[in-house]
Amino acid sequence: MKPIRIINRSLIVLGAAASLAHGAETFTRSQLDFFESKIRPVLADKCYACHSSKAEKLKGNLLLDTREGTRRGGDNGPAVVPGDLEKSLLIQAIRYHDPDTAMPPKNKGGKLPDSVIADFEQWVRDGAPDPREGEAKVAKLYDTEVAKNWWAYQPITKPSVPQPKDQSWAQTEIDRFILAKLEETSLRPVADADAGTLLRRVCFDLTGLPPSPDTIERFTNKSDRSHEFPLSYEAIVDDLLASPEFGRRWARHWLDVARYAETSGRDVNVVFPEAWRYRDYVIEAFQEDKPFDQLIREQIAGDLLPDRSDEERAKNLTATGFLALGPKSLNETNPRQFAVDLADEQIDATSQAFMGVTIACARCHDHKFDPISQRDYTALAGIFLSTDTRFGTPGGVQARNAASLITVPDSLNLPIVNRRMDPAVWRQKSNRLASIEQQRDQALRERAGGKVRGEIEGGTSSTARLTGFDIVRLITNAKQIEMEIGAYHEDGSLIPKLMGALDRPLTLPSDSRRRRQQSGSQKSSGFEIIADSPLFTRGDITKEGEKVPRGLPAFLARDHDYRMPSTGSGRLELANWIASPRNPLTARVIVNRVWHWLFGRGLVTSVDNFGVTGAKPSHPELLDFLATRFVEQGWSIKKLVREIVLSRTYQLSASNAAELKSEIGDLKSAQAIDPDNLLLSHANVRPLDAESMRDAMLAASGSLDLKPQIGSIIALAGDGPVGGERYQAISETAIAKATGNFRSIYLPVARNVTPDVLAIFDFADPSSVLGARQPTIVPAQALYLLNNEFVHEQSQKLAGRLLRDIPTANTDALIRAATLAILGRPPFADETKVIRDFVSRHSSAPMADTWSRVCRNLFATADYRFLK
Amino acid sequence: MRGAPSHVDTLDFKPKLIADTGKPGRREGTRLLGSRWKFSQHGNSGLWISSLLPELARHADDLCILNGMTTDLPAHPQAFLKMHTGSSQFVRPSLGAWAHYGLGSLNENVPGFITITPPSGYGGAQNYGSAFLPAVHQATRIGADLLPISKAELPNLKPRQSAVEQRDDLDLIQSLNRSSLVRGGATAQVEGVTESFELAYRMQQQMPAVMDLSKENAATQKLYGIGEATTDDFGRKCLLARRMVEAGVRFVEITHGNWDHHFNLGNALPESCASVDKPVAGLLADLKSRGLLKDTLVIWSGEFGRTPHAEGADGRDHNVAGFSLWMAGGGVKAGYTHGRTDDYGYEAVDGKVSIHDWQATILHLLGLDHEKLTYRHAGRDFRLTDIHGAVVRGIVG
Repeated sequence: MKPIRIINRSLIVLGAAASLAHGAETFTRSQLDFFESKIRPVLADKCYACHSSKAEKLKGNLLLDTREGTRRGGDNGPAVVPGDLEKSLLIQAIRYHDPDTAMPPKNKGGKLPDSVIADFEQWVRDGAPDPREGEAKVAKLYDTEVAKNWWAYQPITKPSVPQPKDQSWAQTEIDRFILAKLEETSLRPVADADAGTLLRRVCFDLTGLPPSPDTIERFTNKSDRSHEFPLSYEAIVDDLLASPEFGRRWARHWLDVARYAETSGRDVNVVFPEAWRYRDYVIEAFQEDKPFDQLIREQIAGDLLPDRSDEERAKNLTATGFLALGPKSLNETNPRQFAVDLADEQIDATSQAFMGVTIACARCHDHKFDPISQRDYTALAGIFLSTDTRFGTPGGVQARNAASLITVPDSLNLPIVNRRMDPAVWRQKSNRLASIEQQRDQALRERAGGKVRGEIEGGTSSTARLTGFDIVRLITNAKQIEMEIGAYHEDGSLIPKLMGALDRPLTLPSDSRRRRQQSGSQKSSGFEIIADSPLFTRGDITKEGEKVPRGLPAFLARDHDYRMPSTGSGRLELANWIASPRNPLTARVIVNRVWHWLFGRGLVTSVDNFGVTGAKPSHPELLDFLATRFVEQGWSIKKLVREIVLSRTYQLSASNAAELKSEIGDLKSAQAIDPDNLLLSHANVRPLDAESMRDAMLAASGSLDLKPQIGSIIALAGDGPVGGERYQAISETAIAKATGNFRSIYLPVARNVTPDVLAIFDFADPSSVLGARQPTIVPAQALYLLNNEFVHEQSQKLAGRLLRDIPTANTDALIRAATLAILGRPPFADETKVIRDFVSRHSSAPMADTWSRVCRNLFATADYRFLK
Repeated sequence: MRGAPSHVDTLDFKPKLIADTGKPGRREGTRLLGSRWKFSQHGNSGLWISSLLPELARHADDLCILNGMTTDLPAHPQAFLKMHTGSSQFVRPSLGAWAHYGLGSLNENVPGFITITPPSGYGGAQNYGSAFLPAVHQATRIGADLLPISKAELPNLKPRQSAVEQRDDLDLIQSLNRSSLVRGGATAQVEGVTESFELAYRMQQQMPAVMDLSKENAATQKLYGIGEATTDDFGRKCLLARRMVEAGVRFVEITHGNWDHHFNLGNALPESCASVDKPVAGLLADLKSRGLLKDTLVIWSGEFGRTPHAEGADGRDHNVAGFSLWMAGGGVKAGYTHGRTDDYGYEAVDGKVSIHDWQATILHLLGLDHEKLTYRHAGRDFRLTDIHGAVVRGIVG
């Protein structure tokens, strides 16, 4: 009987020939009988419990209840390859040779009888005829339609401003949205914050610094004649926005999102001595209020943007430091793995920072919740694999994956950290390097073709006697010296360099491969030119599939017209799509981040995740209103911040202790109806972040130095690992104990070790995008405030200053000055009393000591640590 | 045991390797190197332990030796991170952080997770960090790698004033906080701060006492080898660990020495073993006599093993396909050997235990299900063992 091949996907029985066709498969009646009697019952009995759509818990992603599932296989590859026993993993498994893959498991009956194994072998040899039609499927964890209809993936709308019933409360459009929502419940906004509380709040929020005692006096004291404040709130807000300190505060917010750090982290923690240039770029961008869409384009594709000068080009390149300064496993032995991990980290950071989507989840499989396929991921991976990331860590024994930096002309006069090498030392090292390189290259040449010591012809050359180990040592020594001198000009001055990203070349210079072999450096990753990425099955680089054209995620970019260039990586197209006003995510995500930084909670609480597993907005219309307004106003962060802080909503009290009026809402019922204050009937109490804690102490003591700092102690240390036994650029202790009178943004930021004060007060871990720090209240913070030298020092300085300023040493005047400096308000009567008692109890001690203790104890209070 | 101790010289007896010394090894151009230290059976259980660990051998009947351990990458940082966090590729919470997250605190006056002299390299603080778990689960670090523990202190623990003065200060702080509480507006936060200061104050009193080894009598100090040059440092670390566990610390890790014996195995390995043998045996004896061993899981391990063939004249290279560690107490089967490497000790052939299996088993012994101990982050549930790991039932007592 000759089977008839039918291409149509349906079951047809063809007349007398009695051949059966299933989909593209045909087989005979006897084959079918064999399957039904010998194979199917065993599969059903022994395998389906873990490997079918009915499985309670599917193992290995392997479905054996359909032909398609059996042929396609699970995580490890096809279970059955018709006719090929060796490639059929099912056969390998039931043969029970390898204890790791042996099936069925011991607790499920163990190895099958030999006769059954023989039946399966015969079945596979016979072409594995299998009538089980149907798509292999598991009960889906999510519904693709739900995912595609998710709010964040819909175009941004322009909602009209609601008209709340109460026409008198709202001062801005934001207020109308907030009040209208409150009016749907029985809640009403509480009273406005008192002037002092509001001033402290807005000063810390906009600049990370406390208001000066003078500003407090001018703002909070109503002049008797006019019943107006001598200084208006609006004027204060505008002053704060114009202050350079606004940039330093808000740049720090963005640096959390950009997972900014000056070391590589992960396995061998190596210094990025030029990372600080990106930090300064971000500070400047926020100071100048650079349009946020431009900020996005520069960070993703600054190297591909047009420029009018070398200065502008240098700035654009610095912006791409965003792509270069992520954490890296520099010790990775396989350069190909390193390259795909680097691209993965860039996809992860870029997609989460700007769009709040976790595209990197689709590295190994289609996204489990969001409409992003592994193909989408691979299309993006091609863009980043076509990018040459210049992160600039020289190689060494541990840091196997080196990359150079981008050198910029000296003529640009970029700021340079104060680090030099003696020219004589430079020359000496350079000569030594040349001699080592010569020996190394000769040794490698002689050993080409796998020769070892003793087999080298002649055997008289100077390197013939070197062992393999000696040669490794030569290679390592050369790298070490290259690292030591590579940062400097011949005259010992630093060469200006940047971290950043550039497109790879279109073709490879023909001699590059040879050069690499000669210099004994690492083998190629295989990603050296602009090219598409292969799809890696389960993300495994050894399982390379078809190449996927570079492109944007199909569903998310469905409304975006673009063309991937064949001559470029496609990063510019990616940047343009992300920064497009039509991208449904970008404007919403940044507007929500800003809201979070001003209210302590976003309208969408999951600030870094707008996907299906993230939260829904509490005020979707307000979010869209602000996003639309933001784009209309030229993506201006300052205008957005201004609009928010001028709203009455922002100015609400966190408590209702202030004069309660009948029409004002009360906090008790708010806490019962809306425990998380999602409706914003009152202000959230928020902790000062680590930087503000520290900067405000310096400001109060009068020691704060507002001068910008060039680099950091890490930049000053130069290339090499953090800590470590043999050679280290900088010790962990130096970073942990780092201090200075400058603003905290200039403290060193390393991965795996954080300056103590920042670490204790919930600094953002720079290993990944983090738009919302997690505040804690733990004893370690109390120990810091009780015993740390820095706190003691600032308290002493402040006490000294107060005693100088108030020579009469009038106790109440001192108490007033101290609370103004520390708590940003005059003391309450009960506070004055307890402090007065404390001071009089210690009247025999030196004044400076007693007042230093008073100041320190004020720094330790909850009122210092929290913004009400 | 940072750097990876040689399994074939300590816990994995390989007579055929010894017999075939000098024959070609698996890696081209290498020669097999049998252990020059005598192995013998110990205790009623007859566990094989080498003469390098004579004191430990006396506790054979308490030990569960795992001879089928495997890990992925033969590089220290990766293997170290894998062992501590389950991942060498991504930043993930450490085993201790997971354990503390799962078990909670026994005593609020002491940290819940302490790491003693951890290395700064090898992934550094990631090895005891909390990653995306709340910061309260990260370890408190005491001391630094390769520095004597006797000089180590807890950060900010030492008051700069007398106890009376400090209490006086604390009273002022707390009256100011009470005044804030009365005014209202931040009740939870003010209460949190108030409480944290009282805890800090008590921790300040209790932790120095916990760390004060002079409170132990001479016999106990001697048991741990304190006072003897070779064993003093590790002895102090072990005794500290016992005192911490007694005080209610949930998870203590000690990092000690450098076991990366690429060269000079003949001298360096006996030195390394001698520095830990007596102290760790002392720890087991002490825990047992106090009735703590049954509720305390003790683990002794490096990040991988070493090659059965020689590297250079007298060294061994990294080996990930098979290595050994031991566990004791805390519900693990005692006087038992699980798993086996091939005749030379190159790779595990029986009772293979991956790092994720081992971690799943540790959590199981601590009363936690590694598949259920999850934390939601970035839109999904994370766990220590990712999607891997199976509890090694065979070693659960």
